Amino acid sequence: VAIMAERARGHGRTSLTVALLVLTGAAMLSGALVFAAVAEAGTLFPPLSRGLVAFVVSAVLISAAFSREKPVQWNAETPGSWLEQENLLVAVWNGLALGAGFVTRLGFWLWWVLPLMVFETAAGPDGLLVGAAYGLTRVGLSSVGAATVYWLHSDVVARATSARRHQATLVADFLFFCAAGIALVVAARITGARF
Amino acid sequence: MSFSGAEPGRVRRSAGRAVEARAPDRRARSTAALAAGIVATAALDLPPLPAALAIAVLVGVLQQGLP
Repeated sequence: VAIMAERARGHGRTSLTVALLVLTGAAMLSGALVFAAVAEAGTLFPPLSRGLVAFVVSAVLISAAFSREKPVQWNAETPGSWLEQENLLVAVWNGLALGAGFVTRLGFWLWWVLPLMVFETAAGPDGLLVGAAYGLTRVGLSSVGAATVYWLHSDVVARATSARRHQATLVADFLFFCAAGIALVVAARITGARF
Repeated sequence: MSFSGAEPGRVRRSAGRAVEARAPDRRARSTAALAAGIVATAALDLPPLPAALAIAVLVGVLQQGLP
């Protein structure tokens, strides 16, 4: 994020604050739109079908995560052409990609529970909220880290938020299966099952 | 990753004998987490939106360490 923000400043034509705000805002917008679209897709199904679809997707995700630790993801690097631009478009494109999530490295199976759960809610505003929260956390936290490095010459935020990969995977794995269990029961309830 | 450095489910040779990676550990943890999620939702009637919001924030935080 620090490199993107520096490129986005375009040799000082724009302030770092503006570059980071554009980056974070684009991520929130993109996350909100993607997850709102998924939530709206849920409204296209009657409750029984929606519950069955969600149940099957939950089961497939659980089965896939049991068999392999690495999630299904698009292993894409930030295109060099974006970084060559050296203007705010760098921040816009990167923010949109990071906020959408699935067009970048996900790192953990846990991400896949998000579209599943907003599909279950079948409410556009809920999708907007979840997507904006995801974009804000993913990019906003990195932006705060980049800002503290730039202004305070301290990497304390960046180091605190960059958990060791192995520990992060353990935590994310545990949370994924908990969340998948929640999604499974919610899906069953949507179909009308009572227990 | 396991204590032996081998990927879960794979086998690594060490001092002439096979060392099983800790795939069963992960399966046991995962099964326990899955059961916890199912039981908690069934017992407490957890709604999906607060769970999705919490997960959105947690994923965002955990992804900070991604290359």
